Amino acid sequence: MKRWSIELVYSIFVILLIYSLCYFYILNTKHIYQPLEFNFLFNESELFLDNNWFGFTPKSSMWVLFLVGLFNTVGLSFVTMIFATIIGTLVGLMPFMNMTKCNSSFISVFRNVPLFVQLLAWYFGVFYMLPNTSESIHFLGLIINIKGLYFPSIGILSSFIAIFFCILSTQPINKNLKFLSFILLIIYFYIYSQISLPIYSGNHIVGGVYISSECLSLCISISLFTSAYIAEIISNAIKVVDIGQFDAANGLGLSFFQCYRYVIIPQIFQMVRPLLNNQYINIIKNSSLGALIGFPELMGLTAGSILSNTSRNVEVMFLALATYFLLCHLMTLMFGEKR
Amino acid sequence: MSYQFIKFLLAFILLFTYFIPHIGWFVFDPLIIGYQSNNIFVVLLLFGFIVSFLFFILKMHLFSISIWYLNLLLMVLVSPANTPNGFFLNILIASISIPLSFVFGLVLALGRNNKLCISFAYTCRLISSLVRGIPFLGILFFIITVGSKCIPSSLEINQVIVAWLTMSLFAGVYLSDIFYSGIHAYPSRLDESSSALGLSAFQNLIFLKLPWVIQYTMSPAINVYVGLFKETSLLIVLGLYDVLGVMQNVLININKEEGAGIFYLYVAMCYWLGANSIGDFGHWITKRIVRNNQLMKEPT
Repeated sequence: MKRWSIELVYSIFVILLIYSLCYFYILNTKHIYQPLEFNFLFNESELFLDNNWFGFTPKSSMWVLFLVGLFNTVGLSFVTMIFATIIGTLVGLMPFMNMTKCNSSFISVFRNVPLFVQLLAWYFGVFYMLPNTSESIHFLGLIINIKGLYFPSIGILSSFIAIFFCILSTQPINKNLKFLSFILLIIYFYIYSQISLPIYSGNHIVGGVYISSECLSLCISISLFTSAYIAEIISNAIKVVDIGQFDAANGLGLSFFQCYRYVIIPQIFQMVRPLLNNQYINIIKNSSLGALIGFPELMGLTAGSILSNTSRNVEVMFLALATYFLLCHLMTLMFGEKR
Repeated sequence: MSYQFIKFLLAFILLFTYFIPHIGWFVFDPLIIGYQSNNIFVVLLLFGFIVSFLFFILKMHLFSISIWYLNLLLMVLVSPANTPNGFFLNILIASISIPLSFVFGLVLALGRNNKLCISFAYTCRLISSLVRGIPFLGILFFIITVGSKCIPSSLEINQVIVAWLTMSLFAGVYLSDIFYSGIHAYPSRLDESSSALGLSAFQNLIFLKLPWVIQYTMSPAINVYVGLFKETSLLIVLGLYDVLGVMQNVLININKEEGAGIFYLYVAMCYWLGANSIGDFGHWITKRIVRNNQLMKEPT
């Protein structure tokens, strides 16, 4: 009896709270009040967005803009995850190569400074200081200027997939995949081997692959920030491994990198997987900072462009937040701890 | 001059001068601090800080901390017209939202599995799983667009209070997970001994379980506090001018040849000192806990 009374009082309190919030929201937005619906996603956007891979024009509808943002977020976080893992592993191995000072100073600098400050320092401090389009720097076929980086395309997607299969094929279990990856590599290079170089045409640069300076600064700052955390995780996980394993690897005559590649890292992989998953989720969440420097991000496009054009606060914020929630949940399902 | 000593000196100068802004006024540029108030208010705040320091010397820590906390709240609540700017704002918001986030974390961690009110348990689980999945920037945008319209329009809430509540909720959710795992790690021998002494469940919770859990999860909790301090850099979204916002205002009129790097280096140094000193405090307190506490040691 007592328990039910507590439940009743609490639920009445929560219902009243939600009711009052809704009441005041409707009262304050009476002059622009519209019923909740998602039909606005199929209207013409009338927005201009340059350098998108979806062929977005001002006449295409809103949900294409949402898709552009989703694609940018996923692509940026995927690339950043790879860079962060590589840098983090290298820095995490430093204490075992008599470079403890280097490791500790890297971690101290990049972990104790907030990501937003690092991002602005890269964007306004480095990429904003580069020369204009007419005086851009040429270096090994690359063109660098204030707008970003132009480089010749050799089938970026194909090379990523080929690298992925190559990594899979080095696993001793998947020996058969080595042959498959070799064939796939040849096929992808054959299909995507239209090499295009960035060339001037008047005032603009045409051809090649273009990466904007916003994207570059986001990628660099997030990968350095997260690699400090990953380095800490990996160096502490290696310390847990039994010292007999190192002796055994030495006794077999393995070199330093062979020891870590074939003996130590396979052992710690299952241990660090949930922790790495945590960091990857942090990467997905931190990539929303691109909204503050003008990168066409999921958060920037939904809560910035779509919201300012349609003035539908609740639906647009629901879309953005639910997409981030689902992305994080998917990441956990794919990479997280198995139960 | 060792590295530790130099770091301590820099942190002391920065933190102490910013904490009492009326000393920092003469030391640093008024632009960076930008805290203006009338004389009576200044005298009141200084008096409060002195009283809390006196209580600290007399080892009455609870009085000292509560007076200090009330003093900080007073700074926000009494003068909504002059909200502080600069690095002082960062320290102010971090220091008022760390204790509240601790309370939120404990409530969410204890409420998650309670048998007393199951609807409250479901609410706790819902809040913690929802907030952990979305970025802090998303919450800030949600508050600006939707949350600001969910209150009566005649109410004018200071943005510092909005930031205080938001940050403490966000950090409290992460803290609740840590405290929850700490409650799971609580050894059953202490439960048995408390029931043998005749303590009730509530007394067990207050006198044995919570002190053990708080001390056991001190170092991961400090990690969350450092994260909270770093996330104060995003408060420019709410229209609050912290040290980064002031710097952005300065950098609007800068020439391209001068370079913006040195300004961001200064901002980074401020944040680095703050975060690193919280981390050093965490190291010190965990060492102290392990050395002094009998409950932390395993029975031989």
